[in-house]
Amino acid sequence: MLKTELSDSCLISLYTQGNEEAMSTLIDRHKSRIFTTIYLIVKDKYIAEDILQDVFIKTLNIFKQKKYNEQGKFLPWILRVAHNQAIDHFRKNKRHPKITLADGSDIFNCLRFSEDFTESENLSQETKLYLKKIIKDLPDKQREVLVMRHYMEMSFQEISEATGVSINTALGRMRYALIALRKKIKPKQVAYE
Amino acid sequence: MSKTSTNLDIVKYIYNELEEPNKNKIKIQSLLDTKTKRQIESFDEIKSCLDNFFLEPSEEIINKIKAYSLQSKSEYFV
Repeated sequence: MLKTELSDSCLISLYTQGNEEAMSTLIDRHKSRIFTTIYLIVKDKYIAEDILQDVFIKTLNIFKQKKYNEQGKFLPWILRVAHNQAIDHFRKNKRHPKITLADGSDIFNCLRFSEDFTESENLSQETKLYLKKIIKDLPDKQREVLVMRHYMEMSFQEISEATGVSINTALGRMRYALIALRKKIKPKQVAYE
Repeated sequence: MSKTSTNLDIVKYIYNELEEPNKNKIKIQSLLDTKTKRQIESFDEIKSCLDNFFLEPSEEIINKIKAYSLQSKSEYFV
């Protein structure tokens, strides 16, 4: 494995010069953030993995064609590719009927809720499973802003432009998402509203 | 500062997007108003949870991607 201090653009440059370890380092460095971003959009581990694979294949093809010129901004760039691929997945699958439960939730979300993820270590497994559930349960528009701001590191201005809403609406959605998560994590705490 | 703008500014503040003058206003308000202080602390706590919340794809899929990368490299770059 190459030293992790090397910048993304340096690794890309090394890879395109024939250093096979450079791409491996780049993949390992960003796989969790990219996968989490995709997963929180599609809410399905297997679909998220398929999309992750497509994202990296697309990226490698762009490197091959020497069309990549993001100059040091690889992560935001690939996160946007991932976001677009995840959204395209929904568009392509619109015609397929979705099986829903009586409360309107997707049956596959319930079936797959206990999927066995290997997760990073700082939070307990129980906390992570709970956090995963409550993020998945957020209204779509709040979850979208949370993913864009927190995992894709887009500014609220960029989110506003990408989603076609005012910056105050984007901020409001983020605020409600944080309040909802807070209430569910510590339900006994006094609400702020 | 209105209540709404304070609420939205707190979100900007915890994500380091608040302009310097407003940042100072929030800092001062958090010293004077317990509710603002508690809200900032609770949002920071959630943010910290999210900072540590990452899911890992399976090793199998990562190995497939790396294999493709190796194949691409040998086909096109050398």
